[in-house]
Amino acid sequence: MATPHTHDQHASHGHGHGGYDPHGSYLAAKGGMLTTIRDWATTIDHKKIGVMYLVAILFMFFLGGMFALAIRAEMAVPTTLQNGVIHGQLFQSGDDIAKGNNIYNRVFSLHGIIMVFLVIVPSVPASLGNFFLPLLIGAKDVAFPRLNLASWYIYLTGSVFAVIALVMGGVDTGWTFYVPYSTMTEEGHLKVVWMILAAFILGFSSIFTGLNFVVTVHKLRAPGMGWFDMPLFVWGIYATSIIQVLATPVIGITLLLLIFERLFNIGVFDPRMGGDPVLFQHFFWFYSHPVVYVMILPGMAIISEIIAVHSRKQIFGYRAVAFSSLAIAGIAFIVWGHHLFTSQGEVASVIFSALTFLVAIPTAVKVFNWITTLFRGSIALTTPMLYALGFLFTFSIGGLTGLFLGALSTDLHLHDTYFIVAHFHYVMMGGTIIAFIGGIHHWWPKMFGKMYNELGGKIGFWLVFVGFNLTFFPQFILGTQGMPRRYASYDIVNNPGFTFIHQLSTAGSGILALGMFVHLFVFLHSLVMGRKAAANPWGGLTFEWTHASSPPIEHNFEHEPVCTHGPYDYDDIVPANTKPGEFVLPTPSPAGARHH
Amino acid sequence: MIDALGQLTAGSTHGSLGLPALAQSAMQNFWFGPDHAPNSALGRDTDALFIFIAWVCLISFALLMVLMVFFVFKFKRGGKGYRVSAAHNTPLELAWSIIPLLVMVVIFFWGFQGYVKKLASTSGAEEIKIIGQQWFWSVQYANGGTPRDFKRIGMIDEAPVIVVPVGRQVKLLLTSKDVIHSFYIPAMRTKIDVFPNRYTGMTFTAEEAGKEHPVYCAEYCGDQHSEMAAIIKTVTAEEYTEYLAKIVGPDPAWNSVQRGEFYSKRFGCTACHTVTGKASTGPTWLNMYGYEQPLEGGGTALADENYIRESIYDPQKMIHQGYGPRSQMSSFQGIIGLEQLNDLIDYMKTKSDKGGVAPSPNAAPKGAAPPADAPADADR
Repeated sequence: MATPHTHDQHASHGHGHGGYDPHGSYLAAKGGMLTTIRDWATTIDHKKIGVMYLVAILFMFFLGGMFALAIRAEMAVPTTLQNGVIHGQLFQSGDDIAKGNNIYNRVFSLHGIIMVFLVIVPSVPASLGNFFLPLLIGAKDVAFPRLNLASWYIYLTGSVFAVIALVMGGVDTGWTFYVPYSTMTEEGHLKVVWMILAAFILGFSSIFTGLNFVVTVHKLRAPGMGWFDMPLFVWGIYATSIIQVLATPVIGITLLLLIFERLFNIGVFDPRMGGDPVLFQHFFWFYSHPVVYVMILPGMAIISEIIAVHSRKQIFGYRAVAFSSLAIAGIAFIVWGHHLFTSQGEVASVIFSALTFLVAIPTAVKVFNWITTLFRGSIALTTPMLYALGFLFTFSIGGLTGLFLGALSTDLHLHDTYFIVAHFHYVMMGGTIIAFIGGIHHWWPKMFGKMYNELGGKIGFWLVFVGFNLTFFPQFILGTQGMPRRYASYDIVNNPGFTFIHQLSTAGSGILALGMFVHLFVFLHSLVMGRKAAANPWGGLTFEWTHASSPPIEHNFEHEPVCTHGPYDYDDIVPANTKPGEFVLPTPSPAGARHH
Repeated sequence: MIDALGQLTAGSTHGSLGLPALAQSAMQNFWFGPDHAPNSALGRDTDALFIFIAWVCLISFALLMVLMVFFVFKFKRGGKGYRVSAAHNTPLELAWSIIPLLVMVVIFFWGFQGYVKKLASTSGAEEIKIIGQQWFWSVQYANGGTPRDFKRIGMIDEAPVIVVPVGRQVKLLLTSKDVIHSFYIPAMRTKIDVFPNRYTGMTFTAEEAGKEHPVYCAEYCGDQHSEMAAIIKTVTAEEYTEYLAKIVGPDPAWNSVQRGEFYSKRFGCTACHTVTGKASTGPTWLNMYGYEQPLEGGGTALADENYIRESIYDPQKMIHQGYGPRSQMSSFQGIIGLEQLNDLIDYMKTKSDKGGVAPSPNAAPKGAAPPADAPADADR
C-alpha cells in the first residue's frame, strides 16, 4: 500500500521483520517455510483460520464424496443369487452376502458421519463465516481470537478421532447411532467409541465457534451499524450460532451417555438393562433437528448476499428475511419429534406434525423475498449468481417435499424410504452445499486476491446442477414405490423398475463428481495463474468490498470503517433512472479510500 | 371437506377422460408406477393426499421458477429493466405468508385423520402378533398357529408368508427380540417401528384378495437388514378360516425331520445357518452333527445333542471359531421348546453323514389332534 495513511497502533509493531508488512496481504509469507508454517499453525487471524477450515472441510467433503460414489456404484446393480452364486455385489466378500452387506453398511455410515459432523455442520460458519463475519461488520477479528484457534484445533482433533475409527475398520452404526444397535454392534471393539468420541469432540468446536460469533456480532459492529444495518449473511450466521450454543450441549451429553452405555453398561438407553431406546431418539433429534438449521441457515445467508450483490438490488423485505432467520432458529427447537412419527406416542406425533408446518412459513417467505428481489434488478449471470438461482431451484424442491413428510399419513408410508434420502439431500446438498460452493466463488476474489475462470466456473455449475438433480430426483420415486433406505440390495422381484431408477441416480452421481472436479481444477488454476482481483469486482456495498483490499490486509482495514448506509442501498447510491451504462457504483477502491 | 378433496384428487375412473383426469392419472403413474397400487381404502386416501400435495408443490414450484427465469432474462444486466423498486410491500408479504399457511392447515388435518385411522383398531379386528429379530419376522395367529409357507424373494431365502383376510381390519401387535426394526407394508402405505422393550401396533384393511405384497424392514438393523422381509398374502374370509384351521402347529402327518425343517424356518434359523455347506452369519449345518467343532479361543467341542442344545439356549457359551468374539445369535431359551428342540436335532442329523439315525416314527405327541406343543405357545 503506497497510499499515505496515519498509522494505527498495530502498524508499528511489525516493521523490520524480514520484509513483513502489516499493511500487506494477510497471505504474505513472513519468512521461510518453517516460519510460515509456524505462523499459520499459531495464527489467531480469523482469515487464516477460515482458510484452514476451508481446506480441511473440502478435503473431508472429498472423502465423504468418495463414499457416496461407492454407495451409488453398489446400488447400480441389484445383488442376486443365481444357483448359489452371488451376482452384482460390489463389496462381495467371499460367498456370504451378509459380509458384503456389512461393508456396504460401513460405507453408508461413514458417508453420513463424515458429511454431517465433519462437512456440513462446520462448512459455512467455520470457513466463510470465520473469514467474512468480522469483515462484514467492520471488525478487526472475532471477539475471542484465541478461542477461535482452539475451535480449529478441536475440529482437527475430532477429525483425527474419526479417521482413527475409520482406519480401524469403520463403524456400521449409521450416522444416527440409534441404540440398541449402536451399543450391540461389534461389542467390545473400541472403534465405535472412537467414532462417537469424534462427534462429541467436534461438538465443542461448534459450541466455541458459535459463542465467539454471538459475542462478535453483539460487541464488535462498526460505529453506526445498527442491527438492521447488518448484512443478511451476518443475521444468518448469528441465528446459526445461537442454535449451536443452545443445542450442541444436548448431543454432547447424549453421546457421552452412549459411550458409558457401551463401556460400562449403565442402562439408560439399552432395553436389555431397562433403558429406553426411544429416549435416545428424542435426545438425538433434540440436537439433530436444530442442527439441520445450523446447516441450512448459513446457506440461506450466503444466498441473500449473492442475490443482492449480483442483481444490484436492495433485498426485498430485508426485515422479513432477517426475522425469518430468527423464527426458523426458534421453531427449530420444537419440531424434533417429526423424526419419530413411527416410534413415539400418537399424541406427540400429532402435535409435532402441526408444529412442523409452522417452519414452512418463514422458509417460504425467504424464497419469495429472494425471487422478488430479482424484480427490476440488474442481474449478472456470474457463477455465484448461477449457484444462487440453482439454489432457489433445488432448495425449493427440498423444502416443498418436506410437506409430504410433515403430513402424518403420508409420512407413515415415506418414513425411512428413499423419499427421505432424496428430501434431505435436496436440502443439505441442494441447499447448503450448493450455497457453499456459490459462496466460495462469490468471495474467492476477496479471499485469495485472484479471479477464477468464469467459463470454468459455469461449466462446473451446470455439471453439478444437472448431476445433482439426476442423482436425487429419481430417489423420490424409489421412495414412493417403497424402497427402504440403508438397504445393501433391493427386491427386484416385486419392484422390477428399481434397477433402472437406481442406474439413473448412479449416472447422475458421476456427472456431479465430474462437476466438483472441474471446480477444484478452476480453483487451483486461479491460485496459480488467476488474474489479480480488484478490491470490489462485483460492485458490492458491504465493508469487505468497499473498505478492504483483495486479499485483505492482516488487520482487515486500514481505518476502522463507519457504517453510513444500509448493506444493499443500491437505490440510494445509484440515483433513480440512471441508465444502466451510467452506473456509478461506489469506488471499488483499495481500503482507506472512503474518508469520513 | 376431506372427502370432497379426495374425490377431486383421486383420479376418478368413471366419467369422461378430461384434461384434469388425464393429468391426475399421469401424476399417479409418475409417482407410484403401474406396480404399486395400494390395496386398502386408507392406502388410497394416503395416495390422494400425496397427489394433492404433489399438485400444491408442482404449481407453486412452477410459479416460482417461471418468475425467476422471467426476471433473470427481463432484468439482465445491461438491459433496460433496471429501475428503483419498492424495498418491501406489507400487503404482499402478508398475503404470501397467510395463503401458504391456509394450505398447510388443510394438509395437516388430512394427514392427521389418515394417521389416526391407520393406527386405531376396531373391536372386530383380527389380531396377529409379530416378533422381529435379526433378521426375520416370526408370526403368530390368534389361535396359536404360525405360517407354514415360506417364500423366496430374490436372494431372500425364507420370507414367511403372512396370510390375512380381506374386508376385515387386521391389527398387528409387534415387538422385537433384539434391536429396533420397522414393519413396512408399502401396499398398505404404512409402517411402524418395532421395539425390544414394548409393543407397537398398526392396522390395515385389505380390499382385494389373491394379492401378495412384500413387507420390508425399514429401520436399519445390521448386516441382513435388506434381507429381512415377509410376504402379506390376501385371501377371502372363507379361505382365511380354512387356513387358520390348518396351521395350528406342524402338520400331524409330518415326521420329526419334517417338523424339524419346519421349525428351522419358523424360528428363523435358516436366516443365518445354511444346510448347503456355505458359511453365512452362522456356521453351516451340513456335516456339523457328530463332528469336532473348532471353538473361538482354542479347543474343540463335539457337536452332539448337548452341544446343539447349549448353542441354542446359551449361544455365548461356546462360540464356533470365526464367529466371535461375541456370537451374533441371541438365546432361544423360552422360545424353542424341548419337543421342538428334539425335532430340530433330528433334522440336523439328517444333514450330517455322521447323523446315522432314522427319523423317529411319524407321530404328533398327543394323538391326531393338533399338538398341544404348538410352537407358538412357547413364544410367551
